Amino acid sequence: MVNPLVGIHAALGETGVFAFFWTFVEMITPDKKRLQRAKIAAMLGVIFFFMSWIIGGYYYSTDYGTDVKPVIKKGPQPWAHGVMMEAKEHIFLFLPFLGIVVFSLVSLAGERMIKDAKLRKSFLIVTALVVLMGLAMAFMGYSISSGFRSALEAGRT
Amino acid sequence: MNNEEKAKRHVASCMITVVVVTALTVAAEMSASLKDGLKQVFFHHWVGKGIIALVVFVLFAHVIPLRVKKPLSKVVNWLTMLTVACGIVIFLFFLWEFFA
Repeated sequence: MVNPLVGIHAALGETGVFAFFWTFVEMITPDKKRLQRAKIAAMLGVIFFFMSWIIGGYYYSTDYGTDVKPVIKKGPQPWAHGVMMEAKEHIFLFLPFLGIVVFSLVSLAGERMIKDAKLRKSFLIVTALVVLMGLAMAFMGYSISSGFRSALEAGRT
Repeated sequence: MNNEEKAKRHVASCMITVVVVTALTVAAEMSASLKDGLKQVFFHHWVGKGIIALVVFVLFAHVIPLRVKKPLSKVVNWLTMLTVACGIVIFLFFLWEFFA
């Protein structure tokens, strides 16, 4: 059976991504009300990213190395660990801090962004990057799961 | 310190954190002793990198007085570009390491 922590980690991470997407949408044409909602959304995003980090990190450092990694490495898609997992686990470390920056910007410079189009554009780009990186994490997670599944199937035949 | 200065400090701290994570990731793969050291101190090398990243971010955001003179929009753009570049470096590094 697949460890439920994998699903919880992915669900928390993707909820965080949705929260930052919500922040992005609110800040396209911000006013005072939208700014308030954007602050809440960004704060939720940071909380979900940190929860995803803790749950995923616990699973990765306890179960993955002993139960999953050796199976993938012996299977037909060893790159699922060698490239995807290695890159994912390290690039992921950027995300909680980028999330804090998005929250910090919307909280400390949000009022300015209502009028300053240049700053708002920079903010929207960095928030979009958070969303895209979050989606890339999900894709990499899918690749790792596929690598594990293909190894199990190859072992059965 | 006004709000904009605080925001700039957070952005700059994030930039430093991203660079530290990237450098530590590549260095730990190149040096087995560094990776083992992280394992011994923090139980797992990845946990070690995460804790170091957290410490670096908090240190530069709240303890070490960073002064950023450039406009906030420019600093945010630099963070975006730096993050993309470091992400590509990590991905290409592991791709190279796997096929080498």
